[in-house]
Amino acid sequence: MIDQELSDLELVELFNTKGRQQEAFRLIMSKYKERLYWHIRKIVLSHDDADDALQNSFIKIWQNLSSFQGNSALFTWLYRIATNEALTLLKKKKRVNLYSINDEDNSYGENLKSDPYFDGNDLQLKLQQAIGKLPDKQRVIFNLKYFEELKYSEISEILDTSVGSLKASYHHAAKKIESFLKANIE
Amino acid sequence: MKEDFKILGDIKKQNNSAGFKVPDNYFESIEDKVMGAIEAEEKPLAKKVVMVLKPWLALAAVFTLIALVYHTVPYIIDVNKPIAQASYNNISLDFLSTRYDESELIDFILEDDNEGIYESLKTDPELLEGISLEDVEDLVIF
Repeated sequence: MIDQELSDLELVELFNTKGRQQEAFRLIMSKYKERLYWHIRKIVLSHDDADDALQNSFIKIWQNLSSFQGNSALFTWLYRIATNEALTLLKKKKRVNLYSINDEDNSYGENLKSDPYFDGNDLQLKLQQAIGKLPDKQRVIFNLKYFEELKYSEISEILDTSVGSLKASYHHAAKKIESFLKANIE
Repeated sequence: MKEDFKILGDIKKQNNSAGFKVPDNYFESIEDKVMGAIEAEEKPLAKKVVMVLKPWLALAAVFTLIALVYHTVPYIIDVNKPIAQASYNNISLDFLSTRYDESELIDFILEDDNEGIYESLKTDPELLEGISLEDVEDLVIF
């Protein structure tokens, strides 16, 4: 087992070394599991959904890592897979009408209030309610910039969207959220 | 954070998890769960491949067997054995006449190397198998 933390490039090389695939993959999971989990969790909200999406993401990563070309940074490639899995899961849930995240009258806030794995204060709850009103992609952009503090160039790689569009989208999202918070904070 | 987004700036990073939490030891156990899920995914996949290939494998086996029989049996019963490799004792007029038409037979006998065969046909009564010498001569000399 390797003690020192390997770079992403070294991890990919180790993964492509015969007989060391599992070892490398465990190191990748260990390095990125929390970041990817929180990224997914802020999109899908519930822990169970985040757990499903995270596991699916890692399975996809396992299946496709050997063909990873290194054209982008490993972490942006991982984020792209995790984002797609999270959004796919949301779409599936919308299809079966469990809830609609874009619906003005959705039970988003109520679901979060009763979620045993959410213990945020009132302000955090309101923030999540405001974020929940954003369209899916805008919500992802907002999360990646606001919570994860990624650079626009990194988000651009993850979402395959131009930096200009991302800046506009983030500004628009932040404006909507700020307005919602102003209107809903006592 | 711009002044426009004061509230967002104020609540930013109160907690990186934004109020979310996870079950105890969740992150410690996720790697084993994922590896278990990967193994579970790959096993049925291998089975599926075998299931899909099974009829084709059976079919391929049947064709191989047929090809094997087709190529082996003639040698066993000596039908395909080249004449040049056959011993004189194995050659009968019947055999020659099933393999060659009249003109080919004549060419064959007239070749220098095959004179011995013709001679033994003439002299070895066993090889003639009930055919008279006249019959043989009629056949090979018009």
